Amino acid sequence: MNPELTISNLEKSYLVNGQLIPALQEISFKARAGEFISIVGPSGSGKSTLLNCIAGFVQPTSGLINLNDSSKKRIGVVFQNRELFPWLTVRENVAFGLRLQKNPRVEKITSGMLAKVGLKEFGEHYPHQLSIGMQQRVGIARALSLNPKILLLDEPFSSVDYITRITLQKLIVSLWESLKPTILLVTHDIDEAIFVGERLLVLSKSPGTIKNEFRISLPRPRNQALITTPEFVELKKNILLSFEEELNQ
Amino acid sequence: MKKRFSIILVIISLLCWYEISSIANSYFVPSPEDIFLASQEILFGPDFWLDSISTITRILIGFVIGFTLAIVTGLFFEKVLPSSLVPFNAINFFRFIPPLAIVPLVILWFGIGETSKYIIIIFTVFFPTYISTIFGLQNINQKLIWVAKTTGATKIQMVHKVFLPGAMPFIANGARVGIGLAFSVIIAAELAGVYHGLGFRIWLFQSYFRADKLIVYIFLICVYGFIFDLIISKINTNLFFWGEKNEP
Repeated sequence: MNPELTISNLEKSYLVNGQLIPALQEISFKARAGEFISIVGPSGSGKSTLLNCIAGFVQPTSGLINLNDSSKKRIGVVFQNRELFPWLTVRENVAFGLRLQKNPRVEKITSGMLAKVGLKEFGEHYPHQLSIGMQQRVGIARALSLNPKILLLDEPFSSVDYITRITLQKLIVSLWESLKPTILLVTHDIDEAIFVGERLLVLSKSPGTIKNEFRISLPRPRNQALITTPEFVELKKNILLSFEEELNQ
Repeated sequence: MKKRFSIILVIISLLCWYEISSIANSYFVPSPEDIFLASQEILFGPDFWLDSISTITRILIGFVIGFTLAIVTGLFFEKVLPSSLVPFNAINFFRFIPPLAIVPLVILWFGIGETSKYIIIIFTVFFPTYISTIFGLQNINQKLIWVAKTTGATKIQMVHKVFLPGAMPFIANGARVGIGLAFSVIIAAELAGVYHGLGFRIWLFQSYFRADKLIVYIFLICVYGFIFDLIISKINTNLFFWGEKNEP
């Protein structure tokens, strides 16, 4: 099957005080259409940089990022700090891209997305009137409103409380199951990475490189009880062991 | 406590003023009742409304042009022109020209009529608005720009959907500074060539030794400036309620 996304030998360096500091090194992996990949790594491992390169926000120093033709320009992003347009209502935030693309079904799609993320009654609110968790739902709805082929999630749940985080994780999984975009989720929360993903990539500390890969073949639908099952714990242990170098510093 | 203190302060000032005016030449230091009589004469006289309307019209016309010009220039330098082509930002150099310093030059070039008044106001409003436009544009959350780019937004769409609304709270604050400066500059600009205006009248009263009426007009300028500032700050808080930040 043709992969949705192929990354080969990706490298990204930043110029800091006249010195070239590598952030990502020798990153190569493939994602098939509709796959849910979690990427974990310590802070400064270039996780966000990887997503920014894939989205085209920053230029890689070298290497190739190949997108399937149909997924070019159909990338959605959700950032850690919500990043909503503060001058637009919730509804207008979700409709933002649809309006720019002059989509005739903008009202219908927007209402549908708001219902899907459970914000039907909050369309006329402004972002600052919502809780952080609700703001993040708006961000997710906005990213999905353009029906992206690839959805990039950059630590989307790291600024919400534990319970909200679980509900958002379940929301993203159910949206993924119904819409089937290819998802790349960057997180530093190993539980989260296992709970939602089908495959897990472990990035090393700076400069980030893929040092391990795990297949998560836990059954679906998954619920929070999963994280106490022996299979889950075993997998988590193996993942943690791959961080040995960082843990024993 | 604070309120009582200000009342006491006002009473003391009035008493001092009364005392000074009783010993000084009343041509130069009019007493409180002189001022009261003068303001009655002015408010019910024929020139007051025309003076106010003339000055405010000049300020508004100059303001709208200067404001628009500043935003367009700011967008051009910050978002259209590649930064490699802006090695030295000339505008940042010329903004240190005091608006009053160009009054004689503008009169030389454009005569003493209305045009030169507009140009002086445009010049005055331009720089604070321009600087705050640049600052506002630089402060737009990069991630909001990225989000907009994933939708395939065109350059024009970026300008009016992201750049302008994102920078607007900053721009509005620059405009507030600009309108304050415009009020001070217009008085000097109305020194010559016009026959109505708050500034014109002030210079006229000076030559007639009518310090009482002159003071009433100075007070009027304060009132108008205050009202304008109030309107702009109301617009700021209602329209740009998210403030000078682009993160929720």
